Amino acid sequence: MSQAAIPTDPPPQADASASHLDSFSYDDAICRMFMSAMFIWGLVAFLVGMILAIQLPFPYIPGTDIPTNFNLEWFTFGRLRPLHTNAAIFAFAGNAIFAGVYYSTQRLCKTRMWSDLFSRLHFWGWQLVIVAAAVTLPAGITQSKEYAELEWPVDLLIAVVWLGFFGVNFLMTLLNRRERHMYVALWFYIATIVTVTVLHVFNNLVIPVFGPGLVKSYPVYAGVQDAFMQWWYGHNAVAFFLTTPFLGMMYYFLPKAAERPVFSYRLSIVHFWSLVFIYIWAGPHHLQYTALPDWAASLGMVFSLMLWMPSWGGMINFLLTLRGAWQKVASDPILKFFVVAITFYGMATFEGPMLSIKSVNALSHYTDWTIAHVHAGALGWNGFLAFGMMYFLLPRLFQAKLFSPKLANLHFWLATVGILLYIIPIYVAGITQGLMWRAMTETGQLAYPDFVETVIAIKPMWMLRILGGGCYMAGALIGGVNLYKTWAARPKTYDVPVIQAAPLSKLEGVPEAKPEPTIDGVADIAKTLNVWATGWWHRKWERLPIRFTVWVVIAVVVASLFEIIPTFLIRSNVPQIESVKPYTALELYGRDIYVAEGCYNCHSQMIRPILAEVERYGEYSKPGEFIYDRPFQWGSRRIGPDLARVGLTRPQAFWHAEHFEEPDRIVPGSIMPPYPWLFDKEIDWRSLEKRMRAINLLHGGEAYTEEQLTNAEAHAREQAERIAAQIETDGGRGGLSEKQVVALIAYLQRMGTDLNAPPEAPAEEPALDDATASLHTTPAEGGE
Amino acid sequence: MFKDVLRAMDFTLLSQIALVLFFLVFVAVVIRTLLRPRQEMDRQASIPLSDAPVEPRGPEAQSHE
Repeated sequence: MSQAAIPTDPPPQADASASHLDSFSYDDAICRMFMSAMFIWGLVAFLVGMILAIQLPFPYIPGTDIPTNFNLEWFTFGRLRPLHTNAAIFAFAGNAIFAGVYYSTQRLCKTRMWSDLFSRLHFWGWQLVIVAAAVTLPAGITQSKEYAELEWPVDLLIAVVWLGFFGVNFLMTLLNRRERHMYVALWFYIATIVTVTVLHVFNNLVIPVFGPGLVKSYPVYAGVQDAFMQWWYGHNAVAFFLTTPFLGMMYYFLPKAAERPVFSYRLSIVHFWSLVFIYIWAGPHHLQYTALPDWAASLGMVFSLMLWMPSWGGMINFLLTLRGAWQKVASDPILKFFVVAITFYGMATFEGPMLSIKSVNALSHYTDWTIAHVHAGALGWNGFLAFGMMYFLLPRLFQAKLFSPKLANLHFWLATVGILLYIIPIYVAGITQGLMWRAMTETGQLAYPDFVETVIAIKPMWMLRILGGGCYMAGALIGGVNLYKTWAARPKTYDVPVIQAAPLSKLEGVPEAKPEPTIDGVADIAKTLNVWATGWWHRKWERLPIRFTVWVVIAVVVASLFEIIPTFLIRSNVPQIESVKPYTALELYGRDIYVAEGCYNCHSQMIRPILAEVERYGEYSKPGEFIYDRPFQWGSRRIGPDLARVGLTRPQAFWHAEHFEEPDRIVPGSIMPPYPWLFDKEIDWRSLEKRMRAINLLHGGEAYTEEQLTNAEAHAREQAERIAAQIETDGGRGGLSEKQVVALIAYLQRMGTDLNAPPEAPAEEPALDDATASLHTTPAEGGE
Repeated sequence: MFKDVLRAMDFTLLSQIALVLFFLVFVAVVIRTLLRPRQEMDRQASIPLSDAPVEPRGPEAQSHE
């Protein structure tokens, strides 16, 4: 094979003058492993996305009565959607990050990764996390917090792999680097590692529930605070998992591919610091008009708008890096992918702050607009950067000429058309649905009172999306051909260039010393400023990755705490509502089923104080209503209607039972899948007490009495039999009192009813005959 | 007692202080970045272009007093 055909980097320049030379080589095998994993998991993420895209407009195979979930619980939208998002973010983008970070860090630090063993532990540990996600999420084992669905055992594994293997390996590599200056890409990587660690740990603080076959936990936060923590996490997962590492990679791979340095290194530094300073504050913009305190949501909006500047500064910096090289863009598929990635970075970072503006958010929230926005970001920015990087790395890692640049170009065009075919119809769908939800007639009535009308209206857009997703996936498959064929042409043994250079510690040169002032005859303060302005202190500081890391941690943690502490401590943030009581044993169990089935993926539980919403769903949600909600279930998308007050609007158990069996029969046009397994699976009565004790622990022992805890099963059976009898009396199925559907219905009947619940009956008046009162069993009533 | 103290405190002030602190630190970072010598910036920007160390390494090799 001709070496001339393979792109090579400038030949190593040994340091002839230094007396002690190290010999080292780069570990490219780990990059090959991560890149291959990126591709394989990417296909999985796209495939699951395609299945979901088909399930929405086609709940049944056309012309048949076979549902597209095939009556299988693990193949149902609510359980598959988290698998799709987790696969796209942590498996596809995650492995792309690691491939890029391992390749660039070694070359930017001019050293091999600190430990090959840690690199391998990181690789296999991360793949184990992904496999665990692929098993547990369809099994309904979930924390239900978006992009943090994985349950506590997997969370522990993530913490060990991310910080213990990846973080330690990375920081030790920085310590052993042979390049004095840490290039800005490394700063972005440091920010990624420390911030994701902080986010992951604090959003996943839970109390596990132990029991046979039970992998379940309750978050230490409830309701408003849980929502706040989740979207502090969720937003920053986008910021520090899907943005900063990819920016670092762009600052490395774009100059490499364009063979010229970044346009303005100064601007890249400002880009970095402004993102680190601003991003962490923006999370609450996901909760505009919800029960979150208004000051927090407004703060999130202001900081989101401030993000326009650094994001577009970065985008312009990238585009100007290509000045004088645009003719290469026309012929080089790598640069084509990068240019489109940069363009989508600019679009998505313009749109994100725009969506955080309250009046825009009032229309866009809960609609497909958000879905279009995230896919512009994920497919356009992350996907195109990942695939561009793949085409850059393929010849270098496999030491063979890229099999077919023509196929790479075809991949590029199919993927570009695919994104457009995806996002344009989904933008239309989102805006259409948002406008239909809020449309009022001249007489002040909802113009589209039936929610299902607003679903049927956007079905054609969903069908177009299938085409768009199909194009994108077809492009990726063509990329797979290129990957496979290039791999197949690899040499028998890879050439491993050995580089010789002196370690930094043995280089001649003095430690950064404070220089003398160059001006004289002026005040001392001027001399001090003169010395300070030389930047000697920052150079000294920069040489110490540990200290640099500590500063990033401080910036991130301080910003987070300033936002989080007030939410937790200002008492007026969550006013107590006297009538809001803990869930009964059966309702709690039903709520856990709601969580496990992923109902929150399609149904919100948050009525915003907007006229059309109050008209459609009932009185707007109050912060105090959610104090027993662990985890919160506000949701982020209304594929189906809001359920915050479904206990008032749909109190009949019979309606729910029929609806779960065949939603389309009860609500013609409904796209909700059938849930037949709820009628077969039995309630795990023995786990009730354990669940309630965990909740009680989190409420300082004030949620339930000892009697309620020890007799949890008896109370639950009583409530279950009553609901089962209601269903049978109304003409529904009999013999459901042991089945999970009854528990879920118990929860639905309770939802939103506490706000206007009748005051507690005086102690001497037993209210036990009143079904409503007994549903609201309180510690004071003893649950009898 | 501790709870009472916490309740009595006005935490919204903290947010304002944090905002000002963040802004000042950010301005300092920007000013410092703009003041750095062009030669140093160019050298740092060119780090990714070579896979092997380019000598001399580090700003101490340059004159910056």
